[in-house]
Amino acid sequence: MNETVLSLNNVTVDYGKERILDGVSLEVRAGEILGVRGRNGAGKTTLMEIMAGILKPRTGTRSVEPGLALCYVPQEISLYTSLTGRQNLEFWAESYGLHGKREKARVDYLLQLMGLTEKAKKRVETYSGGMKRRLNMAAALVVTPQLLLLDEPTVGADAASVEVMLSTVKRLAERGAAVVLISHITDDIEGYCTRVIELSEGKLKCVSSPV
Amino acid sequence: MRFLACLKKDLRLLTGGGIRSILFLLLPMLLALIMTLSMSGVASASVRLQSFDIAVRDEDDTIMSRLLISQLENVKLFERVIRLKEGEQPPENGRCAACVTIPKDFFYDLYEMKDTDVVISLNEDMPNEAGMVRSAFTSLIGILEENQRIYYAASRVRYGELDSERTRELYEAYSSASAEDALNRLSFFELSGVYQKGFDSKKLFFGASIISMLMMFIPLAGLRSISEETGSGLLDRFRTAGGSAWMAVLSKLVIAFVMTFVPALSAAWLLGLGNIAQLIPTLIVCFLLSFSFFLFVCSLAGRPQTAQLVGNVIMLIMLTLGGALFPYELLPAPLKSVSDLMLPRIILRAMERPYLGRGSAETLAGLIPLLIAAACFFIAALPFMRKRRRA
Repeated sequence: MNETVLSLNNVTVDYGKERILDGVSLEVRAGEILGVRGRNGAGKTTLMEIMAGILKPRTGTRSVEPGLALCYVPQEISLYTSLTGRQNLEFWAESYGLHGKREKARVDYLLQLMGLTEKAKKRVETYSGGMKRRLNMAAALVVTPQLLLLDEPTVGADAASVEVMLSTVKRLAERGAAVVLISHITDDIEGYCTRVIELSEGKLKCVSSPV
Repeated sequence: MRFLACLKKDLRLLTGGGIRSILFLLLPMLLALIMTLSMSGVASASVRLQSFDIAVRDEDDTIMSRLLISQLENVKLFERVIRLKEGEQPPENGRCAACVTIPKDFFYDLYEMKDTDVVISLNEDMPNEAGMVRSAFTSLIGILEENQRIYYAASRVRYGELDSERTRELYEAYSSASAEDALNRLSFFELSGVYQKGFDSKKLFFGASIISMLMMFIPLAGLRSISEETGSGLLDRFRTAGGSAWMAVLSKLVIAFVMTFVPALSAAWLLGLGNIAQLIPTLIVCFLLSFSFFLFVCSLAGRPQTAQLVGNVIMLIMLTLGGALFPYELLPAPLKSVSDLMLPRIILRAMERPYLGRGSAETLAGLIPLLIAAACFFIAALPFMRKRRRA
């Protein structure tokens, strides 16, 4: 069995009086693609934010491997729309410590991988929805992640963009990265997942066997 | 490295590069120039045409001091010369620009060539008029001192060593002649000339307008991206990359500071706005206040477009009420009290202070409430810098 890169133990999260996550425990292992499904408001994004370390649980614990290269792609298009595609990737590459020739090579590679080379010098606000989604994902891949967290990566993306993104995810997992994918549309992701869990009213209801 | 990435990104976000950057920096200056050209004529006319009151407290109470006061009543610029009794304060309402105290033995000390001066309290609500009074009295005392030196020297040549009785006689004769002469030489037009030389209101108005616009325009432009960063999860994403909200805000602060101060200080230097070093503490505190205020506005706004729109409206109101777009002298009385809280007015008053003879200690003490206000806005912004949560 592959090593565990992230584990949650009995995590509870409340927003005001509302309980969003209720005693959630799970482990994410290297090389797997874990799908998280559930209806709107089920607590998927909160679960993702707990995994990313952005949100602190009210009770329970989150543990990750020390020095883990964690990359997080939020559900929103989290890009600077008044900067160009290249400038966005440069910012994220530099934030992860890349610079000089390594930075340029990585940015060039990601632009090519996502089919955005021609539009690299255009402002993101001029991009189509699918292009924004691809760039959003590219920003998470400026370093090779050991744990990649994707929150609804396919929303608003065209079929070609979905294919590019999910095949990239699959390649990363094959190279040993742990990937967590959230979607409320299960058909999109389940074919790519090695394991699927379902969140309902803040509780982990069912855990499916690997596909 | 991560902070450098933030600085580079924020600079790009602020300027956009190329011609846009140049236009971006020139815009506040062009706006200030247009407004100054169109408005300062009106402001100057209104200032120059209105005479004002001064109050005089005569502690010397000699023939010469009484003569000086009666001569002041002949100066057309002064509507009224209000004579104050011992312990009486000048009227708070009305148009009293300054209170002049002639200290005990003033004329005798002057005659004896000892260091002496009248004490002038200036009304900060009437900076132009107060500046004029201060300049006028500085000149007046200068003329008196020069006259006394000449008379004293002439007496010594003519009479040799003076006994006390002779000294007293000559003192009375020459002092009254000296006061009359000094006041005759200091006509209204000379007063205006003295005033213009030391205190160019048009230049200060222009300088304060440019600096005020830069102080608000650039922090707002730099901070509007904070609403994009909080609203779209950029800040959360930055945290997972090892960054922090503090780092993100500090980067914006550094970029906005540099982009504000380089043109602001250049403008102050080019316009010759007096001692720039004396202005710097006020400008830094005003910048921090502006930055914190717009941090609060932008964090609250949610979207960059909303932040920019709301910020622009607030900026326009502050510039108008603060006297940067519209002359303070022409504002209705109730708005004048609000005006004192606006950044442009604070900056203009800081620029006027050296001309009004105010010390640095007084200026620094006046900055403490502004620093507290800046801290309050900053703290108030913090809860809004978290992403609006959903499940």
